[in-house]
Amino acid sequence: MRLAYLALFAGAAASGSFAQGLPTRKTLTFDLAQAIAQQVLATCRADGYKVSIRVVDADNVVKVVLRDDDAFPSSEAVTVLKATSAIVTGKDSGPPAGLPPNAQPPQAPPGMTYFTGGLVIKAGNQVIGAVGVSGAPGGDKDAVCGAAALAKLADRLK
Amino acid sequence: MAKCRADGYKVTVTVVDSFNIVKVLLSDDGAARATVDIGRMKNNSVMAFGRASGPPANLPPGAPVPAPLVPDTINAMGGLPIKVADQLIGAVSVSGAPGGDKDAACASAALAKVADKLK
Repeated sequence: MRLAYLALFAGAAASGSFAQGLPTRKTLTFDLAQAIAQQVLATCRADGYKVSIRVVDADNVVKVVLRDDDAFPSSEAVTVLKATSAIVTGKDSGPPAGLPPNAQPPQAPPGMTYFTGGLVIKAGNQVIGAVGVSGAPGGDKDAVCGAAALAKLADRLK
Repeated sequence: MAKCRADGYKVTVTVVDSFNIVKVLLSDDGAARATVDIGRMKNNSVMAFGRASGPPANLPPGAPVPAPLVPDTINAMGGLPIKVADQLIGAVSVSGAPGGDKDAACASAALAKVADKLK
């Protein structure tokens, strides 16, 4: 099986095009997922927030979950909604675009949320995963410490 | 996780607190997707019965392991109680090694390492 793959890629490389072969994509490794989760935890703690964090890969399969002491119990469930929203839409979770100011967002689709705090993890333009943060008083604050943590790890996301 | 990696197994490790709510979940590269669900079931078993997950204690030797009676539990090894003295403060489960006994070996080795913190 391994040999067959190699032959396929060798053939594609030789012809100078991957059009005939299988596409490749970058994947979120466990080690990077863990680094991201720890960084988000540290950043949120520095801001004084007790949060839950969920890091998923591009298929929304969970890689790492962390729930800080005193992060309220349902925050872990909220991170699932936020990470799912980011993966399904391919962008950071948040209220739908075009919503009038101060308007209440509509009911989100099942399993998703319009709260901010779900951030896509990108390698270049490619979504390789998402991180859901919940527990700070307000999704905006969840998103801020999540984004700050991702920015710190930018050089590993290439 | 480190112990299982050293043994060459790709596993998912799940730690829950005394309310059976996830504190930490680590899913290694190459761990099958079902390991997340099986890990949850193992922790549910530990928290429901207050003992390590596994076949019923009174099973005759050689008898097949019965299906679990309580929904979302599993009669497979790999879930261990985390105790301070006699008090159950949580559970840790390992899933992904070829056999619940190997999962349990990783988990108990890890718990042994932090034994002095569990006082």
